[in-house]
Amino acid sequence: MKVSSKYSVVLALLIAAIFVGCDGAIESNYTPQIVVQSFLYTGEGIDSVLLHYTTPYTKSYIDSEYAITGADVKISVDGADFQLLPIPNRKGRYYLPKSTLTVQGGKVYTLTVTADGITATAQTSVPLPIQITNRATAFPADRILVLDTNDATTFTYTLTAGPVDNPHRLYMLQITSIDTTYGKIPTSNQGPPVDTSAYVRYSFIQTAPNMIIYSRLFGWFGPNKIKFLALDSNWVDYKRAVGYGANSFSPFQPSLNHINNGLGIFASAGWDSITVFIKPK
Amino acid sequence: MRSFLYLCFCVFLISAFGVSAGDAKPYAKRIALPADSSEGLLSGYVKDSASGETIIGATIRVRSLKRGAISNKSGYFALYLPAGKVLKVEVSSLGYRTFSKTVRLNEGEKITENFILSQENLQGEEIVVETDRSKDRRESPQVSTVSLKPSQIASLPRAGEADIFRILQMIPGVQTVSEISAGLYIRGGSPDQNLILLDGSTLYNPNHFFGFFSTFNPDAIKDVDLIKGGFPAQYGGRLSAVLSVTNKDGDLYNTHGAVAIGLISSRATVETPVGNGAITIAARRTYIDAILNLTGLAKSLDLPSYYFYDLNGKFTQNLGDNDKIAVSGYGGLDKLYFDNGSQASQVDIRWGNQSGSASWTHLFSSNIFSKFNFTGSHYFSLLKFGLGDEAFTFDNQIYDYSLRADLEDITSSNNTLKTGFQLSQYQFGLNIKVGNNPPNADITQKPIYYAGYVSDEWKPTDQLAITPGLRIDGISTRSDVGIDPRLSVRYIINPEFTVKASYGIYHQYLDLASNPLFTAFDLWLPVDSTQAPQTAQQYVLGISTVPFEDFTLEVETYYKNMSNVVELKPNIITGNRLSDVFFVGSGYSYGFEVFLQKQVGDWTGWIGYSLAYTKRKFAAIDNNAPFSPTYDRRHDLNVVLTYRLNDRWTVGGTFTYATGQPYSQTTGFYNAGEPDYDGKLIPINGLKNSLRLEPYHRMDLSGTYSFSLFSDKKNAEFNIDIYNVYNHRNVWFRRINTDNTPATSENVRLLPILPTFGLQVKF
Repeated sequence: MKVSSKYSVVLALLIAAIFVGCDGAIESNYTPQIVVQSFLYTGEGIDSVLLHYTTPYTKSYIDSEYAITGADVKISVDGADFQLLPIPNRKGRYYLPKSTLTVQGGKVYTLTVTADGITATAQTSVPLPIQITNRATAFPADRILVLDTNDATTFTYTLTAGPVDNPHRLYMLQITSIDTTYGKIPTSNQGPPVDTSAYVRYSFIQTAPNMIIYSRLFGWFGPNKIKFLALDSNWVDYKRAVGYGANSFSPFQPSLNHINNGLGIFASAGWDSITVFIKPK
Repeated sequence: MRSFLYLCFCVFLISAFGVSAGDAKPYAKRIALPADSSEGLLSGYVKDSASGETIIGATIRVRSLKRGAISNKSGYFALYLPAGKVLKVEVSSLGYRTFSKTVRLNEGEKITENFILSQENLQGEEIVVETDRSKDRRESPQVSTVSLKPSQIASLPRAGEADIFRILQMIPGVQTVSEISAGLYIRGGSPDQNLILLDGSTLYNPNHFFGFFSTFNPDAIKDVDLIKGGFPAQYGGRLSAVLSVTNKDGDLYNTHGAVAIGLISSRATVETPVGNGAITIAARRTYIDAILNLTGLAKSLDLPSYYFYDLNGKFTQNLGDNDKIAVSGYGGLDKLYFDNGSQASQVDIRWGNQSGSASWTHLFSSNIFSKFNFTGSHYFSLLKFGLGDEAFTFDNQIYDYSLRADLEDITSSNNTLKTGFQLSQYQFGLNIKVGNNPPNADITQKPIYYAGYVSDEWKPTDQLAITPGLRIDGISTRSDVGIDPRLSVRYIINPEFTVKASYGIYHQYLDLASNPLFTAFDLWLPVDSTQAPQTAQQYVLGISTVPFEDFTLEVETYYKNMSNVVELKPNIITGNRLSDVFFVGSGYSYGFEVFLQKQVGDWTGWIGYSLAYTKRKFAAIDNNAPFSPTYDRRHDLNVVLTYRLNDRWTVGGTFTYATGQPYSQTTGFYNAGEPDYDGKLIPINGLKNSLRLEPYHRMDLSGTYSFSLFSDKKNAEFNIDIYNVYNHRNVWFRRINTDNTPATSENVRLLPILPTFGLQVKF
């Protein structure tokens, strides 16, 4: 074999390779999906099932624009179906009054949503109700807590609840400012709260029903309702996936999802609450 | 099938002990494939004149007969030669002066001759000709092989540290996902599909610094062999490639050492003769943690503490002419720790390998070489961090205790039989926990891996070599057995043009789950009853030739189809079976590689180009539509050059261009909130990896100055390296920022220009 012809073959192959090696990108199409947000509480009615479509990447998320109206929304429990009603003037919200259905701990509820020919379903197993067991002693008798900033060390109290219906149950606090006209609590040098304008804040998940109430949980002066939640596993997964997914080391992905043929959350909790008053120093 | 393993064992015993019992008689008279009785046998070791270290891959050649042999991993060779003739034997190896000697063997005579090669010009029988190791590779029947010597590793640009993985990533067919990942993606295979051996011990995650460096200390290395595909029957348990690293035995004559100080770490090596052998110890440690603490940066910037270290040791003893023992060990640890007093942000990550091996090399006769290796290896990765007020713990451990026996029987001038077996006792443990809850996953398995092989290198003519082989292996967690036939063929068309082809079936019994962006938190699990072993068929066809004087050109094309390949499920691992952890699918890869290399002269280096296609398919991902894994690079061009300016200065440079890596397009997002709390927007991806990032390209330069320091010899080197010379910050990955309205995507980029320097002093 002559050397020249030998290498011209290799060269030709190389040039051919460069051309055949160019392959195009495949653009993915946007397909709308149903997004569910619904949380059931023991002893309550179903105050709101939020339904949205997903938002295309190039668009801004606007609640009213992607809200699903005219959906067929049903809750099933113990073999009975209950049709949810749209909340007037609140697009994409559906409810069922307590007089029609009261959520009970220990039961499994199934949600079925049908909109524009798409049906999404989900289930939650509702934890048993809980009660705060040290209601009388957890805080000062007048339940007035004094602070100047929300520095973590200003005060700490412990709130305890029970009974424990499942040794694997996880717990969380929801703190709601009932009246924000009292003003915002100044942030401490330990960093500002991320949700500066939010009137609801959540604690981290805890493994036992003994929650530390510390000053950083509060964002606003005035009356604050502390809701002690015993979470179902859907809520825990959701919290981990959405809340902790931002941690670069987290193995939890946002795709941790319990909605069949859809996205979002259908979860439940047993709960009790206590109200305290945050007074400026 | 187990009867085959028994057969391998019997072949092994018969070959070994059947001969050793009567070694006084010519071996050829007692086996089915007799050597020509008119021949004699020349055998021995090839050694370095300065240190006595054996030389791997040296060529022992008689040009007049077109006959030769290559020294094996222990530096041993055996060559049948016609009796009664005066023959000139040439012995050569890269970086050494060719040595020649005339020999004359009588009928049936066996001569043991250890050839000593020198890196200096010596008087006497030597002739001064530099050798080209690629010629040896061209004549070897093995396809797709690349060998590196420490001198090559040291002369190329480095990013703070000389690293063999960085150099291997410049070889065509070897891809990477990013410049901070040392994972080797070879011909469409993932890093878990590579068998990585250090002195025969399997290493499971050979990376430091989140994958930026490999665990191999360049000062301790004697030889690196990479087989990119079509590997022979003696290797198995992996689908794609074999990387075999051999550490130095140590200097048999003198005590000496080296100290190297770099920007990121320092190294020290000592070698000294002991008895009839030597001992080598090499250590390396980073001081990133110390620098950050001293400068106060760790405290002021809330930076985590990080360090890694590794320690290599090897002890060898020659017990007479026929026996040699070696004990070697390796230990390494990476630790990243961050604690600002809050459990929510506490991070504690540790991973590392510990391995040890004890080997006995024994010559049953001049033509029967054997090696018995008992190895132990421990890999662990522990990841602990705060998830809110909960602590997340990920604990993965692997113990691997293996016994291997390999026997090489050079039965005649045209026939070499290889056989052996392996028994491995594994212990895998995985525990994933959140807080004080019961484990999300708690897997402990103690499977036994067994394998036996036999292969025969047969040269019916001077031009043609055929190597059929068969490997049978299996694991105790499954009842099925892998039957892996292998075949490679080499044909020398003329002294400058060789054609090679290879076919093989490969089985893999261990699966790996890892994040391709960081190669630190690897999770290895053995296959179980819910998942079959990964299987591949490989086809390789290549040519090797000499286009110009001192240059070699290798062109190879390959096709590999794979079944039962795995992809980590995206959610948290929950469950105790392999099917709870992985999706199972199939894949294929094919490609074309060009490797133009110059190994001798003032200018050395190579140009490598590969065109590669790799696809995976999983029923659970995009309804079984094929997608490109992250490491699929259509084009990959690498240029590596070193120029010896004068006795003092050597300069080098590398350039890489590769097609951008695939990524998934975000098509939308949804709002994920809690009651009365808006939460955040979560991106939704479309087809997996359907788009590509911008192309990757980078140039590095280096200069090395040799000088004398408290010595009359040039015993010191100062190196300066410039990483990413033209400051092109390549894309690491694409991130969606949903804090913007509407959401935006942004490229997260890698390192800018980075000058580093180092000093190495030998004593």
